[in-house]
Amino acid sequence: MTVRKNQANLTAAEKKAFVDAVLEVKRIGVYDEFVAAHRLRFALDMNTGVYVGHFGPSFLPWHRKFLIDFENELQKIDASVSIPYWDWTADNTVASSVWAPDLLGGTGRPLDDQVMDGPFAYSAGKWPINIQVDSRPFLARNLAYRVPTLPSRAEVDAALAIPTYDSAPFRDGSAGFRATLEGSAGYLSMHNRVHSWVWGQMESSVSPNDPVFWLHHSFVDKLWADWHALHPTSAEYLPAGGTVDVIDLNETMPPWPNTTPQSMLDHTPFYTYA
Amino acid sequence: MTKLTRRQAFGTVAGAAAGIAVAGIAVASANATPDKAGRFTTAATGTAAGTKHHHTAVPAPFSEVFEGRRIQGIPGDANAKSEAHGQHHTSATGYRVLIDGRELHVMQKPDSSWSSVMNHYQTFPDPHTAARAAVTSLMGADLVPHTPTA
Repeated sequence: MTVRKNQANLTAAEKKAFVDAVLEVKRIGVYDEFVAAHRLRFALDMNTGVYVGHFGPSFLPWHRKFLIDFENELQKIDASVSIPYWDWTADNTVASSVWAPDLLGGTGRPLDDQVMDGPFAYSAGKWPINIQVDSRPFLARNLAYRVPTLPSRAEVDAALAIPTYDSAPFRDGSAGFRATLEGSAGYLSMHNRVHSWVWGQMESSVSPNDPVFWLHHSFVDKLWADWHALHPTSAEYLPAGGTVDVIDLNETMPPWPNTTPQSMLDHTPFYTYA
Repeated sequence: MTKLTRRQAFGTVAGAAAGIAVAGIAVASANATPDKAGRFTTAATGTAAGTKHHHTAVPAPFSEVFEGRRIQGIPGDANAKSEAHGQHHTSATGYRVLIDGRELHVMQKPDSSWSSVMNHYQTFPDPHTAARAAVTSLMGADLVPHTPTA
């Protein structure tokens, strides 16, 4: 059974196993398929106004499925591996263990934001950026540059306290747990703020180029599970049906032919959180 | 990288969605004005959720050198077929943004705010602000042709 753990609690061996599996999925070309899929989904969400992966209620189940698929690829390499989560409310500085050379490496250098240490540094030779929006072939970050701070635990708790999953018009800025967690207010809050805090590829539509994408979204996914446990009588997902340009509870979420929000409500058949 | 093979799963949607995407792409850029510390002083806008006066005012054209890069904003569909990368982008606004002649893909959200592929988790009040933000993010790099549905 897959157990997703806080990255801060991983052993050295667990970190190495995770990193090695990610590098291998990259080497065989599968990793970049996930980057391309995310870029495509983001473009479609933005350009068509049909919000599937972002800006709508299916933000959470879409990314849950996206992570499950990625985790499955990792486990084809090493069955012991799971996606750790990064609690950015607690490990909220550039000195956090998540940025150490034995996990993701640190911030970029001033010249060009290029990450210079860790297994994903360009100089290590195993992490070319192939799916791009700009010409940089290297992983780039500038931690705490765009916004100096990460969301606080109090902000997260305030979002978790909202009893309603989502509400009309079911897009960015809607009232409810989902839109609050995804982040609005010029986007520089909550989930969106974390992307901007990391900067580099994490700020762009090819954000999965940075492996921290998975640890970030694993924590977002855990918060969804936490919300569900806190509000057992709330509708698990809204809207229930008949909503134009929005994925309803039992509608399929592209690109998967058979995945609905309903099928993603219970994460425990796939993994649990430690 | 054109040989994304595995995706029977991803591919189906890619094909089906391609037409929609082309129809909806608004090409624009935005700029924000960094302060001395390099941070942006132009607050991202994020208007109220659900406001429906979207795509009303077409942003003004602009052309300037910002941090050493030529950035241009070109309103109107009349320009939608020009060079850039040989792609034709038409949209409700048809607004295009170029950085050193290369297209920066920008989008206008229903709340009338703007975003770009370079700064996807922020919104900006207009394409000019988005273009400047992209220049800052690029750190001297060039944009590459953006063909997510190819």
